[in-house]
This record gives sequence, structure tokens and C-alpha cells, in this order.
Amino acid sequence: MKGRLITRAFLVAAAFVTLFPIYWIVITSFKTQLDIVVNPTYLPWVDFMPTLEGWRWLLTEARGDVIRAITNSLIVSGGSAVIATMLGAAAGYGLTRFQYRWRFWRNEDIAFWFISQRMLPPVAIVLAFLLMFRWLSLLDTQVGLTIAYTGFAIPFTVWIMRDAFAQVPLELEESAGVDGASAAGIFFRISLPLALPGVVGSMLFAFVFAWNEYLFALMLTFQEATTVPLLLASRITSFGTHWDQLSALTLTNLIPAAILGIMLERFLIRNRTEGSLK
Amino acid sequence: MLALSIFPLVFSLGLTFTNVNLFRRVPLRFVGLENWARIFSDEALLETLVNTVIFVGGGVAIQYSLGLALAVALNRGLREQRLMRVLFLLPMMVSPIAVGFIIGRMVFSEGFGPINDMLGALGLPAVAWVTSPGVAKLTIILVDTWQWTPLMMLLILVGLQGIPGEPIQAARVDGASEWQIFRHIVFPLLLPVSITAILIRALEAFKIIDIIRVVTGGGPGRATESVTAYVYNVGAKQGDLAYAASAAYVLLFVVIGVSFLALYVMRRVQARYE
Amino acid sequence: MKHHLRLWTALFAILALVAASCGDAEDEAEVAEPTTTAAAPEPEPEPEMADPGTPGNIPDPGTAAGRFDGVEVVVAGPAGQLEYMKDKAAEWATETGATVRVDEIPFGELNDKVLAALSTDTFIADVINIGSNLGGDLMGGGFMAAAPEWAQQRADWEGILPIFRSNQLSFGGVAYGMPWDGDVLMYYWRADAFEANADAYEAATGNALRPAESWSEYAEIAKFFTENDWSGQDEGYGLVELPMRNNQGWNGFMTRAAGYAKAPNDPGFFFDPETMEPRINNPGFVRALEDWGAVIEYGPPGMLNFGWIENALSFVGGLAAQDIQWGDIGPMSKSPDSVVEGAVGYGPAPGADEYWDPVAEEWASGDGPNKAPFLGFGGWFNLVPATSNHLAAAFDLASFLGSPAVLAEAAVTAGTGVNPGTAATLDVDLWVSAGWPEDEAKAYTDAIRASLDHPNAVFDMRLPGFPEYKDALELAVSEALSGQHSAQEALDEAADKWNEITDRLGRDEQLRIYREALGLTG
Repeated sequence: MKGRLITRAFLVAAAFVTLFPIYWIVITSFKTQLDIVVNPTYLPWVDFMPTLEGWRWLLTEARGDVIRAITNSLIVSGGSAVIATMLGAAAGYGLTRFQYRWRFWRNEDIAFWFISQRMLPPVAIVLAFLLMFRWLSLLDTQVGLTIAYTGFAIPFTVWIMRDAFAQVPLELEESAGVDGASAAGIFFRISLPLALPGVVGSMLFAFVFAWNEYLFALMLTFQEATTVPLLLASRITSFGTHWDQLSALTLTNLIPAAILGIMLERFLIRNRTEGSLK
Repeated sequence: MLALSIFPLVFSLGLTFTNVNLFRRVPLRFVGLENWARIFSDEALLETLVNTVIFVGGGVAIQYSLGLALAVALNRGLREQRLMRVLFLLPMMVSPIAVGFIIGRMVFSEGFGPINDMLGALGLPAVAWVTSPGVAKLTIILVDTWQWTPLMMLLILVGLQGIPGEPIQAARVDGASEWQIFRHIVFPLLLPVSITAILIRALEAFKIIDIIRVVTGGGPGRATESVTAYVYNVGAKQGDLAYAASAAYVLLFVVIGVSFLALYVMRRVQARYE
Repeated sequence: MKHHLRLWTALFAILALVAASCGDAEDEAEVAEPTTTAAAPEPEPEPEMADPGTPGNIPDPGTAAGRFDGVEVVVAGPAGQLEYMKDKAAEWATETGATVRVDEIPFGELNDKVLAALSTDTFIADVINIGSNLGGDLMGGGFMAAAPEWAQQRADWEGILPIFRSNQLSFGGVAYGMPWDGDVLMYYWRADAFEANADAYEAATGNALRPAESWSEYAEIAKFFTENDWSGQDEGYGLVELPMRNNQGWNGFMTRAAGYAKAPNDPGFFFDPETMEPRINNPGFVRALEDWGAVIEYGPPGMLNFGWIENALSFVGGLAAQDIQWGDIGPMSKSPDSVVEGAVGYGPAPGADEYWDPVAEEWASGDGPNKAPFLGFGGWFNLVPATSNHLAAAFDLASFLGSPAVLAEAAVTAGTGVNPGTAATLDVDLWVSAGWPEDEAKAYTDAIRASLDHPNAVFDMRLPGFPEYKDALELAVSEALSGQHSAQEALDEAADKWNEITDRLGRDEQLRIYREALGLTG
């Protein structure tokens, strides 16, 4: 009982720290510029008069841009999350079930090689992408960004999926094999469902990565394929930051991702018959 | 996909031997190891490297501890845990640009931020969150931690799902305390996932830039400039792409070295449990 | 069993790859059409291809309606200040039959993106709205098409103040740019508070309270207003400035340093125009930085991290008695955010009691403080890249946007980014017709004109490698202001860095460009 009390207290404290900044974004979206930079104000109607100016901007002047950016972001992030997780699952499964060897390369090295590609600061490779994409006519296209983000996410999805498959007991697969299930059957009926939390975790990771990526979206798109982070950044102007618009956009950007989180949350927890970890 | 990942690597490696500069249309010239020689006398690079290691070491350690605690706490079958899981995931879904501006520059603002205001209400002195070189580093770590602890929690939560229930039940029957169960059964089984989570987070953290550029601009002085921010300044702002690529490769080597070391240590720890 | 599984996994992986690439190929076919028209990677050179540096070989398209039927002109510029330009471009499009697409690039990364595209020969736009600091590099780097005579005429070339004609729109004696914005940092004070506190100030300091002519007066006034309750709000400070690194720190510092270090008898400021030796660690700059550091405490808390908006809002929000800013404060004081409408005084930035004479190597003084208005940033203007598909249409649009009528309207409209810098925009009647009281309109335009026409005015640096010079200096300033180094140490370090940059970029070439920018020949 005492343990639960401590757990709850910890969670409440963590929830406050997590939520306070988000609350701040929410109230900032209803403030005038002056309410923001002069003194901190906490409660609408109590210490500042809320204004709908930021939201009005978002829903009128910027509506077309916002819709286009969110559509692009959804397609690019969703597409790259699904593809990267699929490829990551294939590669991760291979890495846990088989020993590869080529010269002195072993599984661990292969896994490491996958991930080491993500170690270079992005600005060092973005120009290479610009040249490559121009050559492939992929500039300013959703497909182009999807490909780029898929490439970036794969190293991570491979690692996450490798761990997820490593936790699936081999005996289960083997007994299914004895019962005459095909290789594909084993993968789709046994291994993949058991690794579902990994699949969801990996998808969430890849989605969030693409959802918030800035530099490549900046360099590789012009207008047709611009994503939400670009729109966010465009609120930071030479005159300074339009805090209310930035906040309203941030919340708008948060909502689809949060909905995805709510939808996928149930799959994060594996359905188990034997009582769960308490 | 392979070409996609290899071409940029080769391209930027090639750049390090050239004189490519965005600002000047000079004929492409191969300068051999000139850029690499500059690296060794570049104190700024060293300073930003130290900063980066502080951000990664401090940030990832805090994020892992908190993420582990949250994941375990949210896996205990509390009634409200489903809501909480989504709630705790929210920060990582907020765009880093917005995190930097709204949290880094507003919440931590020394003049109009609520934190100093609340400290003042408690009778405590205002903290120079962004203008004191030492504290500014902490601010960057705190903002980074707010955003990325959820990722740690997510990955560890996924890992917790793969832990079989039987040994835990058995230990509980034998009268083991919750702490003993965590220490001797759950934690060892979580090690592989922990390694992945730490590695993934550390790799991203080594490239920390968005928050820094927005919150402190790398200042005061160079106190919060990371290598990636430095590479960005040199490459994109100053146009010296060739040298920026060389500095980027230095980071790459450091990260590979650190990762190998970390993997080695963590595997040793893991081996102790097996 | 195992063997099969392995084979199967490999197949799955390959299939996934193939499926992914096929999917891409299909999608690509669908989007191919708009892509090629929108952002054609390899523009087809048209017969009227410009030879950069040779003006006048773009034929005058005339003024007939519908002269650009079916042409699409792409404009790129900083997000958040293009609304007015969009409206005007649409007007132009209706008249000429062309269509205009405006791509907004986040301000912070505008230069980075433009450079990345231009240096890889990637088409980015037909008209680029860009700041003067990068303009020099773009024009000098051979990326831009020279402005034809007819475009200059339509933009009323003679009506543009000479300092912008030669320093902003031209490079190496060749005109490339079309006018848009004129920028100079000025001094603002709260005329109402000055009046109300005149007696108290005199009692406290023994001096009459008047708008600061020198930085020492400015400091004394700042101290008084910080220590006394004057604003009618919970807090009130003596000043607000622009010290943030990677923000406006460069402009904030140079506005102050110009008075200390720009000797009226010597054209050079940043460098010695004979040797390209940096001057930024000479006694003038060092004292400027020391004096600046001493007044930072009179600003609002956290001012070291204030950018443009924090500065502007602090002043129009009534928190600061004095402000160093661009011309925008005038129109902004009349915006809904403002509590200071009609209470603002306008003047050129204060000067230094003594200035450092770099030739005689001694402190010197003239009649009164040495003023040197700083044209920080140097203004937004429009350029046409040589890779444009439609050079004539691009210049037609750019010259229309730079025409007196359009600029006049832009200057009095909030949020356009246009500060006065032409005859049309400095016309008192224009401001009166926009609703300003006549005396205030006169005070405002006089202050700008006095700054821009000042013989000792300093135009912002326009050298290759400017971002590097800026970064090194802002680093030093930031270190000195936060107390990590003394002003001398910090600026010595920055000067070393400047020499390193100059040597790397080629000292002779940099010197040549610097002298050219100063109007020195030979």
C-alpha cells in the first residue's frame, strides 16, 4: 500500500512537470504579445485577458498553409513510420534469428553499422541530399521527404525490433514449426504479434522523428511539400516571435500526434494470460 | 535505400578534402589534409565537444533514470495508468522548435518566465537560467530532459512487456520484496532494452542543436554550443562546408568511440547477470 | 527449417525494398508534373540569359497589359513579413498576365537555404528578398543578374538615398538590386517621462534632463530611470538594447561602438582600409564594450537574451525609458500593443564624448559628441538570381515592388519590414496622410534622414565571410557582457579570429572588397 502511495506521489509530481509547460503553451496561445514579454501571467481572466488572435490567424489567414502542412506532415510521417517499421522488423528479425557472417562482420557489427549512420550531424549530409534529390527530381515532393525520413528511422527501428524479437521465446516458434506452420505463418502469427509492443514503439518513434524534423524539410522542400515544423519556424520572424501563433500552431501540431498515441497506447501493453508484472 | 545512406557519407567525407565554400564560386580544389590539420588547433571544436559530452552524459543519465522510474510506475496496474501513459508521451511530440521557444525562452526566461517568478514568490533569488554559463548548460539539459524522457519511458515500457511473469510470481511467493524483484529479476532482464534505449537517445543527443540554437544561441560565450551547432554555424551560416564536414567527422569518430565503449561496458554488466 | 526461414526473411526484406521503391516510382509519376513546373531543377536557359555583371542586356518588356501571359514567377523571402508583398505581387500578376508564387522561408534560416540552393545550382526563385549582409556575397559571388536600366528607372533610382544605392543595391559599381527597405539604428526616448521627471532628475544629478547626445548622458539617464519609479507600472527601467548572441548582438554593439571608433577623418571602421588589420580591439571598441557592459544592469532582467521583439515590446509596453532600435519603433508605437503612442522622442543614436583616432593613435574630440549612425543589417532588398527562367518578368516585378508608390504604402503599413530609405518614404506628407500628427511625422523622418545622411554614418559590413566575423565578434561581446572575460581580452581574441578568417579567405581579396565597399579606389 505504501509502495503504491509513493508511486502515485511520484507520478503526480512527474505529471505536473510534464504538463506545466504544455499548460503554458495553451495559455500563451491566448495571450497578447505584451502579456507575454512583460510579466509572467498564469490564469486567463484573472491576470490577463485572453485573446483569440492567435487562433483567429490560424483558422483564417493561415488556414490553407496549415491544412497543407498538416496533410504533408501526416503523409510523410505516417508513410515513413510504416515503411521504416516494416523494414526494421524484417532486418531485426533476421538479426535475432540468424547468425550472419561476412569476413569479420558479425550480427553485432551489422547492427552497429546500421546505427552508426545516424551519428553524423545532419547539416554535414544535407547538401548531399539536396544534390541527390535534385538529380532524382524529388525536391519539394512528399515522396522525397518520406524516403529521407525512412532512411533516417531505419537504423533505430532495426534496433528496437531486434530487441523486441529477441524477447520472443524461440521455443514458441519451434513448437509451431513442429506443428507444421509455415515460416511465414510463424512470423505473422507468432513472432510479430508477440513483438507488437515493439512494432508500436518503433512506429511511434519513427513517426515522432519525422513529425518534428526540421533541417531536411527546410532544405528539401519549397512549397508543395512543406511540413508543420517549417510553418512553426516561420512564426519566428525578423520582428521576433509571434508567440500566440506559435503556440496555437504547436497545439495544432500536437493533436494528431497525441491522437495517434491514444490509438496506439493499448498495443504498447502485451496481452498476456499469465498475470502481468505488478 | 543503401545508396541513400552511403552517398551522403561518402560525399561529406569527400568534402573534407576540398575547399568547397557556399559563399564563393571558386574552382573546386583538393586541399588534401588541410581541413583535418585545422581541426587540431581548433579550440572552439574542443570546447563544443566538451559541452556536447556534458549534455549527453548528464541528459541521458537523468532521462534514463526518470524514464525507467516512470515506465515501472506505469506498469504496476494502477487505474489511471493508461491515461498517464499517453500524457507522459506528450512532450516528445511537441516540436523541438516550439519546445525551445516556449519552454526554453519563455518558461525559463529570466525576465518574464514563470519559474523565476515562482522562485521569487517563495522568497528565493532569481536564477540566471540562460545568462550564466554554468546554469545555461543545466537549462539545456533540463529542457532536453523534459522533451526526451518520454522516449526512454516508451522504449523501456515496451521492454517491460517482454519480461515473463513466472519468475516474478515465483519470487513473490518466496517472499521477495518489490525492490529485490526489481533489482534481481526485472532490471537484469531490461538490460538489452536499456542499452538500445540509451544508445538511441545518446546518438540523438550528440546531435543536439534545435533547443540550443533557440534557447541560448550557443551562448553565453560558447558555454552551451554543441558540436552540431558549431558545425551548423561553420557550414551553413559561414559557408565553410569543407571544414564543417571535417568537424562533423570528428564528432562521428568520437560518437563511434563512445558507443563502442558504452556497448562494451554495458555488455560486461549484462554478462555479470547471465 | 532454419534454412528456409532465413531464405524467407531475406526474400521478405528484398520484397519490402522493391515494394517501397515501386510505390515511390508510382507516386513520383503522379507528382512529376507540378514538380517540374514548380521547382524545375535544371532551368532551361532562355535567349535573354543574363550575363552577370553586364547590365542592360535584358530587353525592356514594355508596359503593355498581359505582357507576361502564362509566365510563373517565384518569389522567395523571409516568412512573416511578405503579406504586403504578396498582395502587391498579385496586383502585378493581374496586370501582366503572369502568376506569382511566394515561398516563405523561415527568417532564421533564409540565408542558409538561399546559399545552399544557389551554390548547388538548384533553382530557388526568380526574385529573392534578402538582407544586405548576404547581398554583398550574392552579388559579388556572381549568383545574381545585373539590373537593367529600365528596371532602375521604374524603381526611381535617383530617389533612393545614395547610401543605399551604393552600399545596398550595388556591388563593385554594378547595380543588381531593386529597393525595398532602408535600415538604421536610432535612439528613442519617452518624451512624456522625460518631461515629468525633469525636476527630479536635475535635483538628483545636477544636470538638465534632455535626450542623450552622448553615451555618458545616456548612461546617467538610464541609471536615474532604473532607480526611480516613473513608469506607472510595477517596474520601469532606464534602457533596453539588443545584446543577444546569434541574434542582434552585432547590431547592438556596433551602434554603440561606431561613436567611439569611427573617426570622422578616416573612412575605415571594422578594419584598417590599408592593411585589413581588424580595429575591433583598439581602445575605441574596447571602451565602447566596457561602457556598454556598465549599463546592461539598467535594462530589464534577462536583457542579455533580448532579441528584436523583446526589445521593441519592452519599449512600446512602457517598461523602458530609452531604446536603441530600427525605425520600426515609430509605427509600432501606434499599434494596439503600445502604451506609448505620442509619447516617443526620435533621434539619431548618441555619440561618444571622445573617439579613438586610429591614424594618430590617440583619443580625440570634436565639437560635441562624435556621432556615427550605424546602418545595421542594411535593409531588405530584392535580387534576381542569374538562374531565373524569366529574367525580364522577374525584374519587371522587382522594379514594380520597388516603385515609389508601392514603397510609400509599405513604409506606413505595419509588418512589411519596410523602413524609410527613399525620397517617397521620407516624405512628411506621407506620414501625415497615414494619420500621424505633423510634428511627430517631422520628428520621425528628420531623425531618420539625419542618421542616413550623416557624413560619418557607417554602413553594415558587406564582406564575404560576414557571418564568421559576426559570430566571432558576438561571441566576444557575449563573453565580456556576461563577465567571462574582460573587454580587452574578449576583443583581442575576436581580432585574432578576424585575422584568421581574413587570411583564410584571402587578405588581398578581402581588402579589395572592403575598400570597394568604402568607396575607396586603388
